[in-house]
Amino acid sequence: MDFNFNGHDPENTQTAYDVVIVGGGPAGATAAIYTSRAGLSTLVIDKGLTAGALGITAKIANYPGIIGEINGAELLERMREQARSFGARFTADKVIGVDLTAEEKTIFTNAATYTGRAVIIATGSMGRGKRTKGEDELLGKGVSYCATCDAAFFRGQEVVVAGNSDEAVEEALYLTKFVKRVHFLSPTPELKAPEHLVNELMDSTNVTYYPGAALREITGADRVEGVTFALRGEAEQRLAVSGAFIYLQGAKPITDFLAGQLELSDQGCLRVDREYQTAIPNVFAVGDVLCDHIKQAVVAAAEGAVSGMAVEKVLRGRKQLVADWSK
Amino acid sequence: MNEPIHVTDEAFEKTVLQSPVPVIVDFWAPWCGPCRMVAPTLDKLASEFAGKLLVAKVNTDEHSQWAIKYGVRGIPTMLLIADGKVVKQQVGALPEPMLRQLVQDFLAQTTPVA
Repeated sequence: MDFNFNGHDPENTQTAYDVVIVGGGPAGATAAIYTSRAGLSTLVIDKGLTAGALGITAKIANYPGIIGEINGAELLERMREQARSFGARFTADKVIGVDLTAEEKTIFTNAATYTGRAVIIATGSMGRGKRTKGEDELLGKGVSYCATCDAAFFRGQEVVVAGNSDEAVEEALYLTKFVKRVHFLSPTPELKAPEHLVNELMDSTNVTYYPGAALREITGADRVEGVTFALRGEAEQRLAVSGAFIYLQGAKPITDFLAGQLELSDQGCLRVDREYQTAIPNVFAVGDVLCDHIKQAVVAAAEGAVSGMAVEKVLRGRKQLVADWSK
Repeated sequence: MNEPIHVTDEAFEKTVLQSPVPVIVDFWAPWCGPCRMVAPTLDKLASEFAGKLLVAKVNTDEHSQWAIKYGVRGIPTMLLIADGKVVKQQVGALPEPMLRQLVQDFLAQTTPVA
């Protein structure tokens, strides 16, 4: 592959780990601190620093121990650095599927396949929200959620990317190598991505940027033929495109990659016990992905810590959690 | 055949459309993550349903003609073909139990009852 996801470590060829953590927000990063300190080989797979709730928070002032305001992405980066300092590995990638049925769990990502003796799901709840009109009908017929999967089918054509996260920007940059033009529709005036990525996007000669564009409909008879959208305070416009890559974030728990292997409640929620273990042994879920959870970074971090200790307990065959006290 | 066979554009008509048994055609590419995910399942299905189902794989990087003919816009796209006609289309990867169910339903639908 000739692209390099921001943070993908080409030197790291290890694919088998004790613990694979899906999602590197405060829950995942804290779990990684605990599991790596316990001497368990740990991999955290994360879509991007600003793909999740803490990463996009401009200011956080109520995180215990941090006096004054800190930027969410900065706080999160500190947590990740801490986990790395104990040996945890982070890779920037997207999990597209899992096989949790075997004793060694398999995690499929865009770039690789990993295995873990335990898995912690910490994917948060910035999943796809309300579908755009036409999105479901034209999925696979021009509507896609994966540029690395489908870009080659749009060689020389014009496509839309809808989103404002670093995931959306990276996918758009990947598309620029194949397509004639990327029409980047951002729902907000500013992009929630690191500056270097935003600059790269703006400097691309085949990207047209539409700030504050609300995607209204994806149109086409049996394949995508166009989209309609409206800029703030303006009338609806139409773009003729053959592809629509959607990265719009809502407020749903991100569980689609589980593809039914874990039962969800009617509201789409995962069920866990007091130590955050799901119905599948050695598979845990923590943080905003849990519906009953209170959406605060410190709460997510606490759940991550407990699940980290619980993973250590199950992998070492113990009956009790062992508190991690520095000597 | 008890494993998937790789089909070229040239061989597609004879191997797939004129196949005496129902076929599942998997359009894939080496760089496609979800394609990698379904590959082991397709291997299993080829073995389990040997003689009743043909599992055919088309690498769209090398052979794109039939993918274009069928309007394949995303991969993996799996076409379930019987007697040369597309009976069902599955766009995107499926976990093993669901893909197995899809194939079983397809075979039940298309295999003539003796």
